[in-house]
Amino acid sequence: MSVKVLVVDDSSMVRLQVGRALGGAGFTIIEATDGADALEKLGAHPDTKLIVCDVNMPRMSGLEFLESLSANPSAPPVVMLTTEGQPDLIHRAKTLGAKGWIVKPFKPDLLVAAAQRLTASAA
Amino acid sequence: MTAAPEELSAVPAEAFATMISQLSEAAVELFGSYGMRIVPIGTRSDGLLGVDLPGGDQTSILGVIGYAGDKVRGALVLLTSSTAVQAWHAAIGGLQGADVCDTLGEFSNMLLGHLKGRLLPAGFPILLSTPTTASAGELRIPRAVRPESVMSFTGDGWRLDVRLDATFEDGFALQDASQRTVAARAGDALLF
Repeated sequence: MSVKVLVVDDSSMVRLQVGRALGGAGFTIIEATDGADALEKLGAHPDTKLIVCDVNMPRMSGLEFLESLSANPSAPPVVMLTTEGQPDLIHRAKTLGAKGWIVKPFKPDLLVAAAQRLTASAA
Repeated sequence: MTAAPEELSAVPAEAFATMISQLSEAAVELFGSYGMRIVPIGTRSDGLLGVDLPGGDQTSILGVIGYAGDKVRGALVLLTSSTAVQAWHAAIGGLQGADVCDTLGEFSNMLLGHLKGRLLPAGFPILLSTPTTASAGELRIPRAVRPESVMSFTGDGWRLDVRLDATFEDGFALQDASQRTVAARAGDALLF
């Protein structure tokens, strides 16, 4: 069965790019447009095995989303995908439980490798 | 063009000059990462954006994203034609039919993000807003009243106009060398 990945980004261009990269590697893609939407989609797709999440988004940012997930020990791993590369933001995401940080524009092969590694036990 | 930098004191003037030089390099790097070669063609003497854009469809796309730091704030404005953004979709591949406004908004976000990463080692940290976009027939953007720089880039049959403005408050200063950091770069993938 295909592994579900939730892609959270307010840009449809990024969701398309990520969906193309991960979809081509056999993942099933669920999309959300911000952190609040992601919480709803996660509720509707509890079998999600990985979340790829932007940082700067309206309504609920990626870091606020991470914070809301941090109390849930069964939450899937989260990889941040963002234009941000500031060390203190990366450190904060790591403290909140993020498993990775990728700076846009991303290299599709590195994103796929990260997704495969973080979902290896779910495949 | 760069307007009124002479009104700035030495530290803001140096900071603004750093922003402008890094912005041009960041734009070339950003488009290069998608396999697109762009060439800076200098600044517009009239300070206007969007005049005589090549493309033929006469639909302009505007992207704007704000930033703020300690005693400094401003915005980055990108203006180009829908034909140009459609060319970007084709160059990136697999994005045919994607929304041109959304794509320009994301490029605005990525360009300012690239600039942010380049300003960190210079002791000039900033925070970004989220982008806003618009489309209309033959948009024209007048000069900003603040210190600004307007530059243009050409790609394969298209032009992108970019304006960066800044307002510096009294007391603006670059960070001490001991506080400066280096950002992760585009394409970096870190697993924890």
